[in-house]
Amino acid sequence: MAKRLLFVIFSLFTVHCSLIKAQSDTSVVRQLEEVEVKASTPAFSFLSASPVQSLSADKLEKLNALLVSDAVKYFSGVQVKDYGGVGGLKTVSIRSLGANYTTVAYDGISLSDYQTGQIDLGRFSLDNVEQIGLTTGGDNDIFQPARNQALSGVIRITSRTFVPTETKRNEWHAGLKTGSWEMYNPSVAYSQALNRSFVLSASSEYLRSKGDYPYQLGQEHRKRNHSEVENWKSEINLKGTFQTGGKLAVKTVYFNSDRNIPGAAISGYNYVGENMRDRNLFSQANYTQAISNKWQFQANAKFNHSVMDYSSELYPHFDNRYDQQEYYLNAIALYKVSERLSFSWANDGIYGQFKNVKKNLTPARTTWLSALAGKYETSIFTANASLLNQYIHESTGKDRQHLSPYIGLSVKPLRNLPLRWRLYYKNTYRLPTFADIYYPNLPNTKLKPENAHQYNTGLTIVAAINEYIPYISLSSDVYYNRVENKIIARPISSLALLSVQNYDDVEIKGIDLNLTLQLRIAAGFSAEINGTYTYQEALNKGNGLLLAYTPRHSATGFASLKMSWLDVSYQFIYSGNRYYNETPRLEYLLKRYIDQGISLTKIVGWKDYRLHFSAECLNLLDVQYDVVRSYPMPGRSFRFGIKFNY
Amino acid sequence: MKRKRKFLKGLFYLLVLTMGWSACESDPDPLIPVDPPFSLKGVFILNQGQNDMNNASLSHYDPETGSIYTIPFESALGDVGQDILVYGNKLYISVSNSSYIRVLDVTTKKAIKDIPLLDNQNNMRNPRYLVSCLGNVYVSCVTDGTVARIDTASLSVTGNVKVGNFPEGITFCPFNSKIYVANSGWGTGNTISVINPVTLTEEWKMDVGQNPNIIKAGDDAYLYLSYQGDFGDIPGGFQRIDVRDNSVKNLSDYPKADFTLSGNHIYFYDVTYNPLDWSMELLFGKFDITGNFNAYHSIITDKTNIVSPYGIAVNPISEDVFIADAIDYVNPGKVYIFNPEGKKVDELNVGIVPCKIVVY
Repeated sequence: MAKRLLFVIFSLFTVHCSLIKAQSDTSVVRQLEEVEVKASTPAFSFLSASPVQSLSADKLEKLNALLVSDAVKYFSGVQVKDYGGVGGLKTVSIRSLGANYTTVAYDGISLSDYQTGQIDLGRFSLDNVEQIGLTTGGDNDIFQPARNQALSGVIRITSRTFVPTETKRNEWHAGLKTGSWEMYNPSVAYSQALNRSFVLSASSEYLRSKGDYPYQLGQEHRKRNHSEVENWKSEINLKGTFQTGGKLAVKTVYFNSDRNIPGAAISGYNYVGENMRDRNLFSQANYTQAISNKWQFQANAKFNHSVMDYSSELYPHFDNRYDQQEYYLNAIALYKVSERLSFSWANDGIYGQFKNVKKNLTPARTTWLSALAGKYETSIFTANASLLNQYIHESTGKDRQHLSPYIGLSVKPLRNLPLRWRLYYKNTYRLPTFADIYYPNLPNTKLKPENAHQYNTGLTIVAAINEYIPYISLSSDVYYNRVENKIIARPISSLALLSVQNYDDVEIKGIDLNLTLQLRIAAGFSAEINGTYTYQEALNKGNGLLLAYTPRHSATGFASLKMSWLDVSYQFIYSGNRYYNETPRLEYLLKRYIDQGISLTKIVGWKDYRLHFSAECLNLLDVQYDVVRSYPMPGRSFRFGIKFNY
Repeated sequence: MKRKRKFLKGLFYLLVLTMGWSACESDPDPLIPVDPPFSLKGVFILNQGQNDMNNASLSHYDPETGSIYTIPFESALGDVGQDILVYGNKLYISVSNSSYIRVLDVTTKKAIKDIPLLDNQNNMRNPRYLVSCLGNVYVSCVTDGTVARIDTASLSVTGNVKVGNFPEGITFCPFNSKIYVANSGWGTGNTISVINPVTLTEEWKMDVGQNPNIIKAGDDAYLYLSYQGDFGDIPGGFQRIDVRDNSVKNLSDYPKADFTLSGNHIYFYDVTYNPLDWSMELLFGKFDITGNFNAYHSIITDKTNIVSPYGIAVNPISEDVFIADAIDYVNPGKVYIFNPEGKKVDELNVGIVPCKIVVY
């Protein structure tokens, strides 16, 4: 333990202080409105015992990011497993724990997938997104559903909200993005104030891409054929505050996706004609009510239904339908003992059913989560602790129960130095997914859950140095993770058979660094620089070898220059050498790469009308690389966008 | 040098054994001038690679020098190497997901040609197992349920015949000059197809165990067949087919997958999965085909730990047994060589998922 703690040295992370940014931003009125909404976020991240990173809409606009997964790549400690192209699966692993340890919360409520337990972040475009946040560890906000506290990290997608004023009762957005390989992405959104506080909004978005980008296989020049994607997403929101002070937010989302799966890029023949169609409908409601100065109450409910149809033109034998349903209910009580001390008790009930139509398998899982959390917070000290109880009943397996503790501390050790030190431990209990259990010809019902321990310590400094450097933040975190009973799927006996088994323990050590620097060079001329660096070592304790697909070094960065007539930004993603298995031999090497891009954005305004123009060049140097072996990433491409806001 | 000595020692033992003497433990003179006319040229080891990883590879082992290396190719071997066959001076490699047969010159070890196996709509056929006879190579194609005939002079497909669904193992029976192919039905099949290799027609289908896998013909009228069952309620097993009366006899509960015939013996490994947690029970042995199949002889007598046996072959001269270990199916595997006494004599580092060994 002492050795592990020795490994842990210092740390820091990005605090996105919208307030300062808004002050440096003289041209945009809309930005000022957002300040009110977002002002609480930076305070939270600075005080938090767990690292928090976030990207707000104005930054997202400069990132050459179309999908949520594109943006998440700019967080430190994150690996996006990207199968390439718009339609390729994109899942997020935080600190090499695996995608199953990441909660993705859409406006506060978790998304779920009972089949794989992994959320495809490529499904979500950034069109209607206000902010994306990543909390690694536990949340400083204890007024949270237990489910959001259950895994090792949370990616929060916060959608844009219209705040009506006396004079402005509705809001319009319409946009079109188009780019290489026949990419079209029109979108429209409308918000209307119903009365003094309730707003009804609707948005719809279409995304199509042929995605037949060129790539190189050995000496051969090829195209990524059969990779067309067509997505439709529609969303209706009702949000407002009752006269009693109760806040209600109701959301219904329908998502339809038709995808051709291009398959692996291999020698010889490549077409198998696999297609996937996803249909997903979910409705969620959140209600928050302050009962007194001391008591607050929150309830969440969600219904989710999704159907995935898989078909193969070559192997109709394997055509199948996967059906999932989920019902979710949650209630949270928050009791403020004093300004400093508060407690919360969250209870979640989740019923999820998965159906493999062809095999006629219908496993179901009922999960009861209870989290008791406490927080003590002053301006120089924060202490968080929670205990999460999981009780899981499975229709085909035995019942399971587990207690997961979380404890976090954050201290400002010196009165005059804007420096914060933090420390946390979190335990996560990861159940096998239905795919883990039922993937093989016969279910492995003896599969044990994974048990993960996260230890983290870090430092953050946030400062305004002078009028030329109005904002700088530096953060660094050092972490140690241990996963017991890692669940791994491997083929056996023939490639047609997969076995899913508990393998050895996995040990992950790493360092995350984040830097944000704002520069005001002259009036109407400012710059912002963001950088992240991750060092990690993920070890399979069984054979003593480093895990596949985990580069020791990775880094990202983006810099934007704001000028009165044009904004220019540059961004890069770097990944060091990795191996696609655990054997460090040249033949299994995935070479390091740097993917760079530039974008130009221009906003033209007249009264309340805004026109945003953007031009992006992605993978500027046309670097050929794979994130996942045999799934080439696109080379150089271009994207143009126009967006109208009122 | 040490390995060379070992090989010479092996040959010496062999000479001694064939002369009917009992093996003695004294060291042979290392300078014995042995240059037998029937010497082996080498051993090809096909490494299947991982599905979708395009990393099949071919290793070559020289038993005389003990050297092992990966044969370099200008363009990658492809995705999922399934089977290899030496016929004439050519090596045929079926690369299943890439859907071609790569042909190599055995002497130069250079690729001569990739023969694509595509159907009328230009779709992949997924070649699986290979067999040679009458100047042709026949290959089972799993996707369209066919057997393709490749002319070894022109190196092109000269005909196809429809068989059952998902054909796997294939063999030629010299006794009646027929080809037999196992119709696995992706686990649900229970027939083998009998093919006339000259007219390239399917004559009839014979009922066998569920999920037939590997079929091999002996020098006589017998065919040996392993079948896998469904890895659950229906167990796999081992059968013998007498082509004279087409009778099928159940011989044993194992092997259920790969085996090899050499001399009077069937060498095999067997893996039984416990369907509750996928733990494995391993067997390594040989049956005397002239005896009964109630008991087998061990072919590993030392403490060598093989994790995931995935291929087996026998050096017909030294009777050394090669066993491929895929280990974890992700990292490079190994091939172990055992002498006839079942003691490990060598351990070769090969590619990912070694699956097929051919001694030529």
